[in-house]
Amino acid sequence: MVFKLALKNLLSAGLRTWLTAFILSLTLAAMLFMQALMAGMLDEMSTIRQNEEIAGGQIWHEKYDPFDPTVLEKANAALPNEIQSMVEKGDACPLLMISGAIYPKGRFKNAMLKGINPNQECLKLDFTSLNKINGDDRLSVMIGKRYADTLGMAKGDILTIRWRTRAGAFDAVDAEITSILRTNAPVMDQGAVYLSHEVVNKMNGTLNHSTLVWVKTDRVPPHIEGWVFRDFMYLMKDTLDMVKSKQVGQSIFYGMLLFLGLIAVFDTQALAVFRRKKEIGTFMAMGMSNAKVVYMFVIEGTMYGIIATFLTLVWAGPLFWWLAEAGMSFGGASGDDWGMAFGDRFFPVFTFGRVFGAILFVNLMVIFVSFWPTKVITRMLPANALRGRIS
Amino acid sequence: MKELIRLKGLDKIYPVGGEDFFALKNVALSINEGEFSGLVGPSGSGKTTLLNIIGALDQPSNGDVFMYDKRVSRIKATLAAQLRLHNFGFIFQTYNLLNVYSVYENVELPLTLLGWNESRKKKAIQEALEWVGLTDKIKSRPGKLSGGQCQRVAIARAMVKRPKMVLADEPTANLDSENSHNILKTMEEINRKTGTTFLFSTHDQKVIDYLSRIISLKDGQVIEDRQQEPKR
Repeated sequence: MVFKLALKNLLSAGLRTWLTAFILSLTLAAMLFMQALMAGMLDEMSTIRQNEEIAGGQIWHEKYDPFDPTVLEKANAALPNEIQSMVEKGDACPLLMISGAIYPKGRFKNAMLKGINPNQECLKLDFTSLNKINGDDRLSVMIGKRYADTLGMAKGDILTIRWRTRAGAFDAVDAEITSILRTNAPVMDQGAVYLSHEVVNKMNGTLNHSTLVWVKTDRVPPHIEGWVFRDFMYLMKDTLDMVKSKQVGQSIFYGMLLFLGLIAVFDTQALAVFRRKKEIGTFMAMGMSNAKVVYMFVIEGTMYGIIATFLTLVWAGPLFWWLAEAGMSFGGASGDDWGMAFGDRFFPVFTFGRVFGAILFVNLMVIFVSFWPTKVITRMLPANALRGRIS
Repeated sequence: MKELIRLKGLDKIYPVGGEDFFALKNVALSINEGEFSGLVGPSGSGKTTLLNIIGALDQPSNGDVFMYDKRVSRIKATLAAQLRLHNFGFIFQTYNLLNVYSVYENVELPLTLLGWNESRKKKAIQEALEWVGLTDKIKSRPGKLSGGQCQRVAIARAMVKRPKMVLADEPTANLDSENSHNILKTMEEINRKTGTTFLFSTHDQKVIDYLSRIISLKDGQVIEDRQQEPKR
C-alpha cells in the first residue's frame, strides 16, 4: 500500500516529480560519466604505457635517474649474465641512452640518443627500419611523429647527429630518418632519436652497454649487483598520482552536483511534509502509526532516486554505450598535447560495479535526505497535524 | 447499554502568552454503546478538542479516558494508533479524502491498514458504499465528486471497518441543507442497523435535530447533558 500510495502521490505531483528526478538523473549520469572517463583514461594510459613504454617493468642501471640527465654518462654498463641470458631468450630488451644533439635543417636541438635492438619484442613498437642500410654510410634513425612534426622533418630526411664520446671528444655523423615512430607514449616520442643498440654503443665507445632493460614479465632474478628492478606499478606511479589528484577535483565537482540534486529532494520532502499535514493527520486518524507515515514519505522520496535511476538508464544508457564503443574526441587534441599517454579518442569504461556503485550511492543519499525532513512527523500529534500544525 | 467511553476529570491546557488556557476543564461524562449523540456548543467551546481526546488523536493534560473501563489516555503513540485503527472511524468537516485515490481506494485504506485480504476487503467496501449510495462512483476520484458525495465517501471510509465508534467533527459544515439531511439520515440509518456509536461535534441545528443525546459545552466545561427525542 505504501509503495502504491507513494507512486500515486509522485505521479500526481506531475512536473515537480519529473524535474526533481531529472536533476538527480543528471547528477547520476555526470557521476557515472566522469568516473567512467577517468577509468577509461587510466585504462588506456596503462595499456599504452605498458605496450609502448614500460613493458612488464624495467631493470635500471643503479645510477640511472630519469630526472637527472647529468648522470646519464655513467649510468650504463655491460649487462650481467642473469640479465644477458634473459635478453638472449627474448624475455628482455636492452636500451642504451646517451645525450647528444641533432641538427635538423641546420638548427640545433638537444636530443636523447636511444640505442635499441631493432628486432626487440618487449614493446609493441616497430623499430625494424633501424636495420636498413643506407648509402653514403648514413646511419638509420627513427624519431617519433610528434617530434618529427616539431622539427618539420619526415621519413627520408637527413639530419646530423652530434654527441660526446666517452673519451670526452665531440663527434658527428649524418643519419637518415628511415621511419617515423607512431606512439602515444610521450616519453617515447619527444626529444628521442632511435638508433640501433649496437650503433649507440659504438658512438659511446662501449661494447654491449645498456642503461636499462625492458622485461616482458615481472619475473626477474632478485638482487642483481649494480642493477635495480622497477616494476610496472612503480613506473606507473606518476600516472596513478595524476589520476588520483584528478579524482579529488572530480569528486568535488560531482559532490556539488549531487548536493544540488539532493537539495531538490530535500526541498520537495520538506515542502510535502509542510503542505500535506492534513493528509498526515488523516492517515494517523485512520490508525497509521507515526513511524509508518514517515516510512511512507521516505518511500516517496526514495522513489525519486528510483525514477532518476530509471531515467538515467533510459537516456544516458544508450549514449554511454555508444561512447564506450566509439570513443570521444576532444576537438582533435590527443593526450600527447597534455603530456599524457593516450590517443586522440577517449574511451570511457562503464563497468557493472562502477554503475551499480554510483546508483547505490546516489540512492542511499536520496533515502537519507528523504528521511531527514520527515523526522518531524515522528513527534507529530494527529490532532495537530489535522489542524495543520507541525507539532 | 454498555458503557463505551468514560471521561474523568479531563483538562486540556494550552499555554497562551505565558498563561494557561483551559480548552477543557474538569470534563466528566460517559458514552454508551449505540448512542447517537453530539457535543454541542459555540466555536471555541472545546468540542473538537474533546472529540480528539476521545478518539486518541490528542492527549489530555489532566484526567483520564477509559474505553470499556480500560484506561486509554496517556498511552504510547503506537498504541494510540492501534486503538484508533481498531475502534474509531473519523469523519471530518473537510472530508480529508486522498485525491490521488479513487473512491474505492479511499474506502479501502483502513482495511489495508488492518491487513484484511482482498476478498474480505471487497465485500466490506461494497457494503459500505451501498450504505452511502455510491456504488456507481467506485472508480471516481474525489475531485470529480460533489461535497455531499465526498462526505458520503468519508462516511463509508469511517464505517467500512465497523468501528466501535464514529467521531464526526462538524460533518455538515461544508454542505447545503439537502445534502446535510441526506448525510445525517444515512448516518442515523447506519447507527440503527449496525449499533455503531456516533459522536458528533457540531453547532449546526440540522445535526442537533437528529441527535438523541446532547452534551452542551461552554468554555471547555459541560454545562448540559440531556437526552432528546430526535426532531427530524
